[in-house]
Amino acid sequence: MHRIVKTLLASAVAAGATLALAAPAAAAPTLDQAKQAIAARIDKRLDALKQLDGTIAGAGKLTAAHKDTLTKLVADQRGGLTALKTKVQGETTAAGVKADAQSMVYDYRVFILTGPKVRLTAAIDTELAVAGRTPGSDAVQKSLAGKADALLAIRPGPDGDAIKAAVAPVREAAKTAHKDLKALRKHQ
Amino acid sequence: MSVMRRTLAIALAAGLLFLGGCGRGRTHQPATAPPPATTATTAPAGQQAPGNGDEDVDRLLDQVGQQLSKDAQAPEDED
Repeated sequence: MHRIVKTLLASAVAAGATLALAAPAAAAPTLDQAKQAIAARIDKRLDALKQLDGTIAGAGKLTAAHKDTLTKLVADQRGGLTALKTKVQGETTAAGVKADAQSMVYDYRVFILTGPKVRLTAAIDTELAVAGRTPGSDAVQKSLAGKADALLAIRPGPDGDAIKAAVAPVREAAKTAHKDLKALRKHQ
Repeated sequence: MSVMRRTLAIALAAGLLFLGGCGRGRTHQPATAPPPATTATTAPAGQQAPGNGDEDVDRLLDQVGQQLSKDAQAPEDED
């Protein structure tokens, strides 16, 4: 019986998907739908920025300079995205909405850049604080030197892959340092 | 008879004095007990610092681990 219900549900989903694909009129959203979709994606970013504010506040080992930089970055992005959301609602053309959608992604890069900037800078500053209290961690300190500043210098832009590639070595350095510091702590 | 009364009175007085002495001793003990306890916590402050420091360092490393695992999670939008 359970299997029959499952089969019926699967068939219904498959039929729905086929109908959706076969209906070209439904694929093109209206201007209002597009504006709503962009507004929802902006809200996701604003929610993420709110969480990042909490991360900054909770990161007790962030250096004062990094904390200032990150706090300003998050505040600026919140202001910019809030203004963009208002702008989207006033758009009267599809081209305008498309440009706003691109701006939402390219000008901020909240998920692939701002998030890692906050989390990895907090991690690296904390690791450096731990390394300062861990004998034999000179190599770890050297491996982290300048990494947070290099990360904070990465600018948002249209080339997402380049941004990811620039963030990757910093992430890797933070991961390796964490592993090394844990190993050093074990051997003490 | 009066000798017996006097003996009883002396015994009673001695008993009261004895009990009073014990009571005083009993109330005195807790009063003296806390100071060693407080000195025990404050005196080896130098020894406690490494203990707290160890905990602190472990806690900080846990925080780093949490940050890194959050960062490893795929972003909601891949952009």
